[in-house]
Amino acid sequence: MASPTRTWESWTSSLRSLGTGSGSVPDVLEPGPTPTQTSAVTVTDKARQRRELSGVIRTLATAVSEAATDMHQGDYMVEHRVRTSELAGAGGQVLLNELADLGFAWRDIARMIGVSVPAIQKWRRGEGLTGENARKLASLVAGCEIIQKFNPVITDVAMWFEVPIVDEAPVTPIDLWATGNQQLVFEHARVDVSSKVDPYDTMDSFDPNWRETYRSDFETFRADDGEMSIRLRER
Amino acid sequence: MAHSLEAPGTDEAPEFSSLYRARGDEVVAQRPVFTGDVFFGVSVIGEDEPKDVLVLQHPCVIRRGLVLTPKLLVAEVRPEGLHRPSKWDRFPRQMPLAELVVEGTPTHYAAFFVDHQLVRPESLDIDQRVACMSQRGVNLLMQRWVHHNSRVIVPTYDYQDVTSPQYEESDIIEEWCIDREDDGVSLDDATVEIDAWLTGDKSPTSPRARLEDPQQRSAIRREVRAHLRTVRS
Repeated sequence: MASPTRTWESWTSSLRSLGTGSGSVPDVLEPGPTPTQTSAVTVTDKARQRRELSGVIRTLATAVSEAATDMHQGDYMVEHRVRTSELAGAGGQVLLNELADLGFAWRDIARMIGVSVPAIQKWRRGEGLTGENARKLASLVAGCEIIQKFNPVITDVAMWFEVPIVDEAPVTPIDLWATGNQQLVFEHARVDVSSKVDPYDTMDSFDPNWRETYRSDFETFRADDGEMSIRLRER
Repeated sequence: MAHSLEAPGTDEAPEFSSLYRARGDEVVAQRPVFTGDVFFGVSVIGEDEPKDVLVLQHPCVIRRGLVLTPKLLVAEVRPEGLHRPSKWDRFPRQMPLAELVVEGTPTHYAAFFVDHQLVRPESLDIDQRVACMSQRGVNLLMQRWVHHNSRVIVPTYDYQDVTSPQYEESDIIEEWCIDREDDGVSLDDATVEIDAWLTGDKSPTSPRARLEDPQQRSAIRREVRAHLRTVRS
């Protein structure tokens, strides 16, 4: 594989030879008073080269940005894997207590692990769980730790998991996690503080048709008797 | 997109088990009677023979405090063929109860809305309860029951907002009673304990009132656990 440093140097050298940034390259859109055909070709060639190099630089910048993001994602995903392995031996009761102390409902834990509520209740009473389920439970606990570590703004991680990603749909991080989209959960939690993940992009990644899927002609409201009710949405 | 009656999963990947919170031996006595509960062998008002029934009453009117309303609306439950999810909209007069009984060969039932009955709360023997529905199951039931009565289809995620506070409360009561029975407290006494805690001073800041705000629920669950530790200490 070619050295990125050498490639970068060769590009910058090429740019210098073209005079990029110095203003020495004539503008083809404003030809000189009496351009010869030869000088016009030279100017056009240099302009083309500038465009090509600009394109290369843009591509390179995008690649560098993506590589940086990948490296950071790699950081927390590796940490997540390592922490999951560490926690997998902690035992079902310990892990469930951790999640309950955070404020998770058993039914939400059950959904995210992919088991029934009664299975969770059995684990709480000390019944053994399979290695696979121990690992899933550990993965969720580790995920919560990662989210709180990398994004200290999230002080109530259980509540954060229950809050819809966007106002227009009832999809929450619980739904993302339950369907195996842990990476989307981490991105939505902005564990990479430099990332500016738009919640709508998160939803698009989860379900490209979500706007249609969750469009409703109804809305909920609190009725005069104090109970939540449903009515047609005003158009 | 026009709203349509929903179903659990697809024909390729049906999710019938997602209808239920618990079935058969999984059902616990500590869970309060709730919408969607299925009881076998229940004495219904005006009928000589016991019936298998499903509780239709909406969660917010099923009880006042700890006490169930004097008469509860139920639908008769009978064995029925298995309907693939894509066919559920062809049976709008019933709530399919696919894989209701899972011991041995899965057996499928349905609750028939046209055969509704009234039962007295004391007729609902908790030992005869064979299934409790999940939140998803309750929302699907509400969608079909309302459609049966009004021909209006409301998306299930809109029902979520109006059934989740009561469902959350039932979860809390169930867990509390299980934990307190482990401490040697009777189910009745444990139920009174948690009801008193939920009711608080009946103000808008009482736990029961705060359960209506989804963003408060994680905090309330933590408070319940802290209260349990206090009671035990």
